[in-house]
Amino acid sequence: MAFDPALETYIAESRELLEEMEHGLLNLEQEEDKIESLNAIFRAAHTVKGSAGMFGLDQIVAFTHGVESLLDQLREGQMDVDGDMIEVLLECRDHIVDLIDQVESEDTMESDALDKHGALLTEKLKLLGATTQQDGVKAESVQGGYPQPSESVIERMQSSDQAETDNWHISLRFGVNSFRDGMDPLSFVRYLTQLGQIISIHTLSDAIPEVEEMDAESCYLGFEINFRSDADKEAIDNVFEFIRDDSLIRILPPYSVLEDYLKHIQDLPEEDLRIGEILVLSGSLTQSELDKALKLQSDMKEKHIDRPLGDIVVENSMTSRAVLDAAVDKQTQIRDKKSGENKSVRVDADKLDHLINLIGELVIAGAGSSLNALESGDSTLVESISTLTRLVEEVRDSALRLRMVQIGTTFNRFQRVVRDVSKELNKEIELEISGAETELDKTVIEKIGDPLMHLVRNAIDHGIESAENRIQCGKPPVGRVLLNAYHDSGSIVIEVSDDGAGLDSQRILSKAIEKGLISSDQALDEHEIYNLIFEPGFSTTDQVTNLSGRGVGMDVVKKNITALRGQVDVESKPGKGTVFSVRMPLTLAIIDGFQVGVDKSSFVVPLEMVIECIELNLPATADSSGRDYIDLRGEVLPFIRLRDLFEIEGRSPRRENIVVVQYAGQKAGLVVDSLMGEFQTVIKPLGKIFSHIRCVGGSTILGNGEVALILDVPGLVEQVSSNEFHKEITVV
Amino acid sequence: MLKVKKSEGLCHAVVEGEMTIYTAAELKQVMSELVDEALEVEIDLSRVSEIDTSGVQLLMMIKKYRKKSEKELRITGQSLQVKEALSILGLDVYFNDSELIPVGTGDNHGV
Repeated sequence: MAFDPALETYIAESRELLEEMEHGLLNLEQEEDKIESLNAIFRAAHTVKGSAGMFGLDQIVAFTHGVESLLDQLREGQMDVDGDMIEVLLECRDHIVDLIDQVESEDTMESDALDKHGALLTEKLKLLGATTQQDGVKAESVQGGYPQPSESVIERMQSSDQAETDNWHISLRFGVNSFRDGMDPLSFVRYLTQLGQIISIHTLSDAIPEVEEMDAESCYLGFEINFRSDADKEAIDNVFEFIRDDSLIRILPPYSVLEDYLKHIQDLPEEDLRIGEILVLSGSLTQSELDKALKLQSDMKEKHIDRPLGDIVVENSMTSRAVLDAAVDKQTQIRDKKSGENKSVRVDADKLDHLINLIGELVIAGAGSSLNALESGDSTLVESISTLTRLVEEVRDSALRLRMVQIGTTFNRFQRVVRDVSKELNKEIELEISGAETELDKTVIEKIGDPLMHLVRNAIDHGIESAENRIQCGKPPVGRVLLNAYHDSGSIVIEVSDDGAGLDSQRILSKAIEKGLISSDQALDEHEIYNLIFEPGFSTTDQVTNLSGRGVGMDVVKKNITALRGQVDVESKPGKGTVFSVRMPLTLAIIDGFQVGVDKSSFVVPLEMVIECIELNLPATADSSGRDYIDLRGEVLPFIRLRDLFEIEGRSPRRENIVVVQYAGQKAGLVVDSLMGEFQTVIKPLGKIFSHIRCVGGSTILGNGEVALILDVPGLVEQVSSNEFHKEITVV
Repeated sequence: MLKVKKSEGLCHAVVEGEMTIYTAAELKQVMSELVDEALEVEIDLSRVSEIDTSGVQLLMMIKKYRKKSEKELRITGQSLQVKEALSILGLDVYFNDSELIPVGTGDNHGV
């Protein structure tokens, strides 16, 4: 079976809905506006079920039905929500996720296990009082919870001008583009049979145009369906949720007044008489009822009565005003939601990657052209090329912005982790999130998830103390874990902090000595000691829990983050808590670079990190031979010479320049021969064999085709400020 | 795809494979010729592997316009998929009741 693009959309949308559901369930636990959350959860489950039905994913429909009915009872206030129930509902949500994963992977291997799990959960739901699919469609409407005014049904039956049928009548005229949009009327009709019984169906070919004009990919068909079901109007209406915009859908409830049938007949594109005949044929109206309705029509025409349908409906006790208002409200909501959806477009990530790659090439080609233009000395050419360059820059920026995603969704995922883990450890922990709207590259977000997860687990497991300990220390019993994100000079900083016991520097130190990571006579400051926990082979937990301490240590976190050109740092105050901060570059593909030269080699420094460029004062350096510091307006600025660092031969020119860079609040100077200016840099990663080289972050191709190395400023700054490095330099 | 064989006053067409939105445009090209075919037309659908509404619509198109010019269209065989689709859409009768030559119940089970 070919993988249906519509199904793909369904899977993606369901995942989003299930995420919303999880979010809602967690909110429910915190008792924030229960009704609102319940409604959101219910909507999510309902939509997942409804659309699953359209694709014939019976397993999902059957399972979700139970969940939905329980939710509905909760929503109706027939039951109170408690912790156990949320627990089960969360499990059920996970199960639906599994089911959807299975649909995506088309993997039937594990279906047995899934079935069993599903059956188990369904049992649990039953215990909680949910009705399940086996209880039949009837249950749906009873538990369906929608207004089902049985008294008014009786009342209506007594009134004279009503059709006698107790079936629904549904008229469908599918939109011309239905086939192209992947909406197959067959599936809708098929799905309808799950809600009730189709007594009769007429497929109308009236709208099929002449053979020459007919487009085989357009839909011209109409359907008149006489339908017996105990489901309520909303449930039936929801079947057609996906086609409502483009198609004509008319649903007449049982015992509708003749006027409605009339209106219905008039609404449809075919001739009134033809529709009338079909209504009679399908059993929705009797011949005498039709005659009566048509007479009504001519009467109304004579009297020139022109009233909105809504009025007629209410007047004829069809629906109470409140129900009508609710329906109108719902329609507005759906419309609002639709217009919100239209603002975003789902794009395949591969396509985006391809675009970014192309733009990368464009940037390189552009740099080449502008170089050639400069050399040609043709001023008009130079001017037009510079306009072009500016545009390329803008295109690059907006293309990169396409990939920017808010980090909020990633953060929200941790709500569940915190909840589950703290339960397991019997600790009470709150997760606070700030800076959720901070944006960063999608690839970075994807890759940062695992290391962050580890940091969060670590904070819960090792950071936060048990409630008793906390009370003893005079802290509130509920621990806090804070996730925070913000932008800082071209990078994003993500902080994972806790208000726990903080790191024990003495214990870290003794452990590090014991493991042979440092020698006992090494003098380290607090900050350096804390950062020892990122060393391979380091783990202070004496007690191995099944959370952290599974052999995946902080060193892996650091390695993963460094692989993304990021940095991780830890700060801690004993008794107050620990803060892990992860710094990541905003994007992985293209940066604004500042090009500098040493002898014949070129280097690129990420522009965001350059603060200023100054001329290196010659006498001053001569005086401070061996001591690589200069006085920058009263500030001590350590610097290194790129010529020394990369062992480039040749004499320094008479006038050297110093580029002042800053990273994570630390400044350093890089001494170079010449400054060549700004340059858009497409980062080409270095091969694996160079991965151990520090101070170089990647390479790029210059306009003239030469290769330039991109300096790893964080690495350099670290080197400049580390003692060992200075020793080496003085030896050289 | 569609194979058409004409002999002894009968135009016999066999559809093989999918009758879905993916093949609809192509099928329509060939099938529209059946509409004006002067001979009696019968279509064998017993080898249709998959059919969706667009396929059904094509059949309805032929039926509609042949009926209009009072010509015959018979469906001689239906695969399970076709049978299911036609019965869901309530069209089993539509394709079977012919004003010119009534088709016996045995005929729609294919050759």
